[in-house]
Amino acid sequence: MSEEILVKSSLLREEYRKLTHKSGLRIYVFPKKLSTAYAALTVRFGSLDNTLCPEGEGELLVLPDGIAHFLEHKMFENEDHVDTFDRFSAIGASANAYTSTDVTSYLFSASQNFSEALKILIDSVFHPYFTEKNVTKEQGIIAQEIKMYDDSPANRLYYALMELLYESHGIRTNICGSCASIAEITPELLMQCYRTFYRPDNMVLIVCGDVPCEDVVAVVDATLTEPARASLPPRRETREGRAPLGRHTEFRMDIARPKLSVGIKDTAIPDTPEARERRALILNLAADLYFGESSPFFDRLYRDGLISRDFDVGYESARGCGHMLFSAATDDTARLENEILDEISAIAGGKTPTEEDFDRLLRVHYAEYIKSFDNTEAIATALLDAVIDGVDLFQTGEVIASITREELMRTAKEFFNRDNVASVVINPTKGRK
Amino acid sequence: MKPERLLLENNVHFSTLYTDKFKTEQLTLYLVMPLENEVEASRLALLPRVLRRGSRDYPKTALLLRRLEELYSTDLSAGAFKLGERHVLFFSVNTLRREFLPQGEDLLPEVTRLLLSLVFSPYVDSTTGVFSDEYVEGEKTNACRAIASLQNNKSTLATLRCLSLMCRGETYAVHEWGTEAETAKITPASLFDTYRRVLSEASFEIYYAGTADPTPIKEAITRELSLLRRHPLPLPPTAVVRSAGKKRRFTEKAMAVQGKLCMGFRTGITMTDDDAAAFYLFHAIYSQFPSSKLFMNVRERLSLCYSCSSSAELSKGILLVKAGIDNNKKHKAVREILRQLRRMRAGKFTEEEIRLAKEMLAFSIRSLEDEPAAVRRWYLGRSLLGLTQTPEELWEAIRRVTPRDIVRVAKRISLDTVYFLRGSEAAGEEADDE
Repeated sequence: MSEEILVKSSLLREEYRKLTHKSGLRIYVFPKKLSTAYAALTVRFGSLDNTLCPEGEGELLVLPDGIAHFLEHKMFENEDHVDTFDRFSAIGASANAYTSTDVTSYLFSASQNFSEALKILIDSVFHPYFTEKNVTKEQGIIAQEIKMYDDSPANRLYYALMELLYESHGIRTNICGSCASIAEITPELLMQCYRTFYRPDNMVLIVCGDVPCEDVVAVVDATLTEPARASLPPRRETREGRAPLGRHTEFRMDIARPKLSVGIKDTAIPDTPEARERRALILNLAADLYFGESSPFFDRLYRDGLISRDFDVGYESARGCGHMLFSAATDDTARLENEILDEISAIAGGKTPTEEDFDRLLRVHYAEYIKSFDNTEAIATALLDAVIDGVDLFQTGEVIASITREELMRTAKEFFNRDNVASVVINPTKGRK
Repeated sequence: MKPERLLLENNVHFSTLYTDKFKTEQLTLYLVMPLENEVEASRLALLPRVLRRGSRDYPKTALLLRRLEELYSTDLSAGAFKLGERHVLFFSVNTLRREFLPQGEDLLPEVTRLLLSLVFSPYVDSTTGVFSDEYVEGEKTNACRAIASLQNNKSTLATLRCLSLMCRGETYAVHEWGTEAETAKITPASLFDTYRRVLSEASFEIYYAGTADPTPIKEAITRELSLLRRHPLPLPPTAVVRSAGKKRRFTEKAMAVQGKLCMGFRTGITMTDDDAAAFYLFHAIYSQFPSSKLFMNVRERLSLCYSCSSSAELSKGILLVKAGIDNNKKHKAVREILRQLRRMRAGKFTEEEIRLAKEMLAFSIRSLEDEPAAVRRWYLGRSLLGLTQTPEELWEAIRRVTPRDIVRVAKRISLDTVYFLRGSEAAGEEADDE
């Protein structure tokens, strides 16, 4: 087992411990004196991991879309037919799981019996049980989940935009897959994915709450006894440095008002994790500065009635991709899109924010960072993101504070490029205004 | 985190929740009015939207928003919701505590002033003496859009349609945002009348959560109130229907892939009922959690849905059960949901199911403490019913519930309305197919 390292932040008055267990599992324990403690066991296997190399074979196996998410659904089922949810409930812990582009995470919150709950969590993630029958049953449940998202305007808008921005990147693919792709999933295929990705050295355990680090390590010691294996499954990263595949698409749904989403593809993603984090922080700051609630842009369009408070803009990234997304409901999608494009051109042309506006927004981002450390789930999620991205969570405040106006303008000038823009419109079905 | 609740004057209470667990502190004003009809509800709901546009000190919205950002990104929220047949307007600020600011600045005095100025010193047009035309017209448009957009989420739409059909003729059927038609009729003058009436007639419930001494806040509020002519209105109790009459079924169509089922039951049980604690346990065993009968059977055993949830309106005595299902599976889902209710009435639940349900309730009650907003809502809901019950006291009551109590509650629950939003290529109404 590696030595335990204590990481401290005087700014936040917080600290956490990190260590690598002999099984290869990386453990992070963030003490927080709240009533409930939160734990997440996270596998580095997400929707972007769509191939695997079976042991002993050279050929790459292409996986059906949605298999990481399907596997997530199946892990809380057990051979003795006692549902894992029931095991957690029996000791007063509330469990859940989710799959993202990068990871699959199994989690619980508990106000007591923490060690027992952690044991259940690790046990269930390390005891797969897949049968023809329970796979068929899950196909029915997940088909309903897919249909639920098909009816969500926000979800449809997002994936339509990803399909325009990217040509082949996995971000285009719905995390749940499609009804057709999940029909291809078999118990054998699940087992193959399980064997490849579900191993302690490909996982991270994060605990946040009033729990001693020794207790966490004791449970891991007792449940994971195998030493770490030699090599990790490769993490494939595809990058697309090109302009978007398509420019614009429109479709109809049963909604009250048209919705517009505009995306700017990031074609200059930096190579190091630190540089990527810095870029994301700068671009989010720029998004608020030029388009946020207190910006002249927002104020003018809001007073004009073109946008409401649901106008949203932000930069997000996943493995090998990044983009800024604008979304809003509006009566005039063409005019709003033009307003956004004009502002993008102005920024590219060197539009300068005032010193005062820059300082104020920098203060906002700094304050929001501090505020985010008040909730065990939010802390654990932020810590997990930092670990997966390979950056130090406690450095983020200093990174924000070190951003200068000149640097922001330089980055914005290069990023806000109309050649990298695509847009999607959802119009209300006929018969409505 | 038990609040210290003080009567500042007639129908004005100030509650302090002392807590040093968080990096922020909050000040929240709840202005409580009776829920009446669509005309009044539309006006009341528009009020927070207009008030948050500016005050005498910050007449322009952009100035106000910039000031909030300068105050280390102080969050301002304002809006309206209903609690039983009461219409609650809220105005709330959340700001960093001085311990976490670079120079140890104390933001609370200015943040308090700012919040109170929005509520008590709104921006008024100097020529007309009422709210500005720009803010009222702008926010009417936004309010109408928000009401219209409720239909975008089909699950929300099914719940709202079910509630309004089920409670037709009851005040509870009035939506907390009112209607587009009534909102469109509001003028700056009529809204200003409503504003004056609210300041005079509303019951005030004010909450501060944090570590500061709240005395200056209380004094500032008392000063504001002393300038008003207050005639607080008594809040009539919420009408509770004890049991359902004739069962009603409705099917409507929406352009959607999935069908949304919403079943409305009358429980007749509110927080003041002797069976309230037993109802919590009934709900936990029947439908509230992933370990409950409905999730385990409708989803896990029969594979009918992904989402299967329920919500209990303990201020009104209603239970709603919801599921997103294939359009041709409605009868199967309804049958199973009712079969599980019959099993509850017949006492067909195990010691183990009771134990699981109790553990889950204990967890959710304890986790309230980690969220100041949840603690605030807990006490607001109860104090409006004259209750002082703490989460611990509810937990003690739940622990004493027996299986016989649960069966009694299950027998009190009756199906009122089955609402189905059928997904189809075209939207519209249709007769029920049963």
